[in-house]
Amino acid sequence: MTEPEPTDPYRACLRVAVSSLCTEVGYDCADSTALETVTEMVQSLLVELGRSARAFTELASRVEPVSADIMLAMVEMGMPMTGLQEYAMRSNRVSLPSPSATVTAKQ
Amino acid sequence: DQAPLPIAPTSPPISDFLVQLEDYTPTIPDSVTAHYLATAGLETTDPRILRLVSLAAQKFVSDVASDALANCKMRQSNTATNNKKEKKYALTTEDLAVALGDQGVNVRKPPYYQ
Repeated sequence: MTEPEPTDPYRACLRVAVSSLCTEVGYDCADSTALETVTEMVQSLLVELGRSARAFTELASRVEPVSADIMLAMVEMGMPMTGLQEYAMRSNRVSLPSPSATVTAKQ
Repeated sequence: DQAPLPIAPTSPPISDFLVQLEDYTPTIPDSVTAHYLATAGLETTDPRILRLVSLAAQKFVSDVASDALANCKMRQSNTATNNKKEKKYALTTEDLAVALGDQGVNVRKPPYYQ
């Protein structure tokens, strides 16, 4: 958290995504520590959602997850599905380019 | 009464929603979401699943950020002595701590450095 320089490219991309979401909400700038806190929490949320969804997948004796596994994981984590569709279709959304090209160029 | 059945009453819209996700681009790129899901052992090639997860994460960020922004605006209107021409909203750890406290997460400023 103290050194933002040598992070992996995925983390850097996640940071950019969090920044653009904050800009979209109406922020003009952000503290580095606050941004890093949100990024860390999103990363944690993604991994935890993956872990929980994998548990549901394996409980149903499958190796490939289906969307119901993700929904069950979300509900179990206390994230309601309601409002997600409206959120997805919001007007002023931004999308980032995939980082794959940059990553392959670096290595 | 609606709490025990969150999936059942919304089933038809959610299946439509999943179809809509086929050609949807979330802010968090698919490859980033796929990487973090793979960290937890969840390997998938279905882009709809990745986008559903991305959207869930994005909604979390947006909810927290708008909570923090509402806090920031309230604090600025309370201390309305400095009438600057341009109002700049900065995401600070203090506002974030209040917004995350509503979600049950305790955030504190680091006691030293920076």
